[in-house]
Amino acid sequence: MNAVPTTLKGDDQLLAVWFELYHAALFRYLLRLVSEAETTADLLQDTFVRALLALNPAQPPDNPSAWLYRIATNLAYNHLRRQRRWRWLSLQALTHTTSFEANVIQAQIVRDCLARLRPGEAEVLLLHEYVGLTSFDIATLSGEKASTIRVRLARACARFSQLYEKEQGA
Amino acid sequence: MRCTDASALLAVRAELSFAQNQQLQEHLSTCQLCARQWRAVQQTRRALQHIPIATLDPPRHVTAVIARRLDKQRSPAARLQPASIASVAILVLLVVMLGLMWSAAGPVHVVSAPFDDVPARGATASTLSAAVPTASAPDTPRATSQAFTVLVLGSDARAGQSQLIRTDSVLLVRIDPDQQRLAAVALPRDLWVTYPDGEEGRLNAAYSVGEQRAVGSGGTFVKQTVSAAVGVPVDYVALVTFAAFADLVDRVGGISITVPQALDDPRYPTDDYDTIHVQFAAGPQHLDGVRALQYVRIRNPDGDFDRLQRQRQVVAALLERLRSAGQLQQLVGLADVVNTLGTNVTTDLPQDLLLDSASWAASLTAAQIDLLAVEPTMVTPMPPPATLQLTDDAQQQVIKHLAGRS
Repeated sequence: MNAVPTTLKGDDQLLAVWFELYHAALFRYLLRLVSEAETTADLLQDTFVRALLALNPAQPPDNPSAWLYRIATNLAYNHLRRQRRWRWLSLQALTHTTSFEANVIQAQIVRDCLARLRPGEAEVLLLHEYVGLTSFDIATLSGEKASTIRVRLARACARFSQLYEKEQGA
Repeated sequence: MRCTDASALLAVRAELSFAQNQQLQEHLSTCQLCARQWRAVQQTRRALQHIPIATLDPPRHVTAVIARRLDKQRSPAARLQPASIASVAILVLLVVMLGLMWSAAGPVHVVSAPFDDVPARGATASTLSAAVPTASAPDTPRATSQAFTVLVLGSDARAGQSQLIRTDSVLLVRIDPDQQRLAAVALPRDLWVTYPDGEEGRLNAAYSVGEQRAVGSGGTFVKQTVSAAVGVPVDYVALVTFAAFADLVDRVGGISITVPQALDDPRYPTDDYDTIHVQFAAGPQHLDGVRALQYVRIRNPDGDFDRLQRQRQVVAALLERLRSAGQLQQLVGLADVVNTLGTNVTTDLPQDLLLDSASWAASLTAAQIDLLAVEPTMVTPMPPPATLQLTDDAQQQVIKHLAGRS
């Protein structure tokens, strides 16, 4: 009941258990990234559909939640990339800004910068900063060395801060 | 330290040891390039915080659609859930409290009979399911709608691992976000109690007796037992392994404390009922999880530095460490803490309640935590096979302490 099961009879039963355990947290994570509840619901469903397709029941992931977060992260990143241009235009249209709107704009600027990172960079940055995975966790997930992940993370920060500074100045 | 090494480590400082962080700090003070990279990391972190944490639960229709698609089969026994991300801040506190109180429950330990001698009981599960949750009992109104009580049970086994779990540390915690107060009472594990089905037994067996009645009902069973025994409604229960405390200390890279005087315990109890020789030299030192646990548990026969004092010291150091590194904030979002703590903590605390309390918990200081340990003077022995009970005065004292009117 407590330890997260990684072996059960059928793979969809396994995913059903993981769904029960993680869907609410994944939903909030995705909502934080894409900000719209409808889109978030779609991405949540996509996450589990992808997981169902990708899961090898003979070799389930050691860390199911991290594995699911990685799938969700990449779906959200792709979505942010597709939406970037449109979002940016709609932002420019806001001329009068209350503090609430200012916060919304700040958040959109951050999303915009995230969308402009390279896919691998955005992935490690989000998994580390928002999901809280360590470089070792991410390395295990992607089959790379922790040192590689750390270098990529450092690059992601450098690039993000560059983009962000430019946005703030603009 | 070389620049290439340093710059790669800057984004993962929380994963580094105390010594590594010190080396890094030294390098930063001499290297402008790396100092700039460190500012980039900090700026990125600050910027990412501009997107607020979402608190909305997924709409039911969404969940239902996906669940159907996954052809899910709901498990009826899964009452207690592993800790969620949002619950970590509160659970961190509960774990800290548990580390504190472990030894505090010790002085009144009078019977050391093994757990197996709990007599088998014949009541059926139906009597349990018919019982009304004590938390909603009309004769014990809650002080405020916000405050709630959590029964924290410390054990060396995890829920589901075994039906025979001894909960050797029993801590009743009342959290009042309005008053910014956390009050806790450590109850003696050998307290003689009446279970919800009318049978009697020791407090530390209540969870297992409940589990034996019906798998998954141990939590409710022990909540009702303690509600009745203490006279305070118990809203939630959290089952925590002692490993969780040591894990938590390790996860923040250990804690730095100053030991005021040397400690020596030649008979420190271990998990497997053996003893080892444990010593602490006086002076400042850095403790890892195992040593921190020893420090709060150790008994020093001729030392006059109070154990409670040491426990407060450790909590203060841990809270300070969490706050200064911004780590408590970070922990709230840490999936891997959930994986660590999650397997060590089982609870029925609802997520929305934890979300409400999490921000307050993150700013809690040691001074806002009130501890009360039930001392030997507060209990009276009972004729065998019964063990001991709280005196009337002690019971009043416990209730007042929890309500903040002591």
